[in-house]
Amino acid sequence: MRFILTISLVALKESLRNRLFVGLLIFLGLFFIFSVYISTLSLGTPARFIQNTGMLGISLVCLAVAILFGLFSIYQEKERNELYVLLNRVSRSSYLLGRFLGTTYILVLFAFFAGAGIFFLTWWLGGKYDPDLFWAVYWAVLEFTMLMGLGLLFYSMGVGFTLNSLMVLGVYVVGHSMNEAIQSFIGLGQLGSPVHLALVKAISIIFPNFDMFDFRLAIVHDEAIPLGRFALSTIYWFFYLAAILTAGSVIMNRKDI
Amino acid sequence: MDQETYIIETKRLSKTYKSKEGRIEALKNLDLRVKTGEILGLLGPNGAGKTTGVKLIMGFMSPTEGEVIFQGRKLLVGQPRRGIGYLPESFRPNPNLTVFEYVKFQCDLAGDGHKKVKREEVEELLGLVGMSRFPRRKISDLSKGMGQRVGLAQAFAGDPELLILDEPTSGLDPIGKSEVIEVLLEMKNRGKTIFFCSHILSEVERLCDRIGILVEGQLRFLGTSQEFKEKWKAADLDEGFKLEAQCVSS
Repeated sequence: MRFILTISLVALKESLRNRLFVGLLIFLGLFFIFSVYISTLSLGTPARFIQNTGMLGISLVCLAVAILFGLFSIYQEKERNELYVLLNRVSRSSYLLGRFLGTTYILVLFAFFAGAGIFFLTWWLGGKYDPDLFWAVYWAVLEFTMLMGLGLLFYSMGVGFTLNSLMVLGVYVVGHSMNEAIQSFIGLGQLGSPVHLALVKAISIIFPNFDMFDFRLAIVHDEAIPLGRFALSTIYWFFYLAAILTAGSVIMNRKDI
Repeated sequence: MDQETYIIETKRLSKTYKSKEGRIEALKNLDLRVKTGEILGLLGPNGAGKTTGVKLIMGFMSPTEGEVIFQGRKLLVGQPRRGIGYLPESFRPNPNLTVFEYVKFQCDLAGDGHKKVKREEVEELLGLVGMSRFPRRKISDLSKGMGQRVGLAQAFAGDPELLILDEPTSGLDPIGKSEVIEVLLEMKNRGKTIFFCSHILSEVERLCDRIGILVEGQLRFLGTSQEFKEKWKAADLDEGFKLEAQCVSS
């Protein structure tokens, strides 16, 4: 555990000193300016406009963090042959978990900056005090840590950086259509045999369902999220993440590097 | 009878890859024993299987056949090699950290995870590789030679009994090479065992107690450089090495 923490803290330090960190902060700042500008075009609902575009900002920034800090840095580590030095001292699973945790810190940081930015802009320019916005930060962290976990799983399989990034983006897009897809597939599955239906249901469980964390509209429209949904999504995140990180560790342990 | 102890040994270590052209035998039945306290250099042309051999010893790859024994214990693939300091080929440390931070990080990982690494321990390692004047310098601002010295410092972290170094002087200028060799000799004086790969014959001759010649994945010779020269009646290692390679290709 101590080694995982050591690696994660060094990963955090490394990310904070990376030029990309400042680049993403600038991007976030520009996004806020954009959302304020867009809100001036609205007809009396600036707060809702700021919140809507701000939510998109959180997603874009977290996606960039997951790919650039989470994935790119571990590929660079391998290219520098530093990976071998680390794996001479710690187990492959400790390494993977350490890197995952290190990127999670930076993800939480960015999601929090973004959430706080939207909160203050909505309050200042939209006249709406809405601390529920910080729940968007929570859901974003859950969603993108899971996406990053998938990226690490692909990495452990030996997938190269470009393909891995594309796969992560693909999974993100597909994972956001899962509720609809599952219903359509189950509908289609019911036309076939019970085996067919079971297969469709199994696929729907294996595929990541990012719709589970998509409460953006509910937050913008001040709708309460039922406690059951809240708990279910959090439990789903925990078990899915644990499964993919375990799978990643097992695969990495068996692979030649 | 002279009782010799071996710190590490490989038994019939082999690695075969599958490729589009068919099976490639990168390493064939490597039987190698490194004596405690010696410097053993593994020599071979590019593609001879040196790095594959090292990666197999370090457990980064699973062998097709064979095993590695370190201090009497069989080593498992994929397990960390505590007690072995390792410097891979073309190693570049994390550019976003300072020299001190990086070496301390490696000391933290080389320790047992409970004892806090003291500042003096890190400073001693930096002194050993001649980097004590630059602890706060960012690694991205270091020259290649200085980066290699940081690489050596991390390999020494945790005071390992055995050092495995893959091409430790590659890409360095003559002064840099000489400095690295001095550091390795100092480590030998401190009783450390060093096993390293190289294709630069002069440094091997200067540094090693014994040499191993690896050509096309096969260990062709293991002994002192003098014995190797006598084997081929060669004036120097270079000539003997060429004759060995010719013998293999014919």
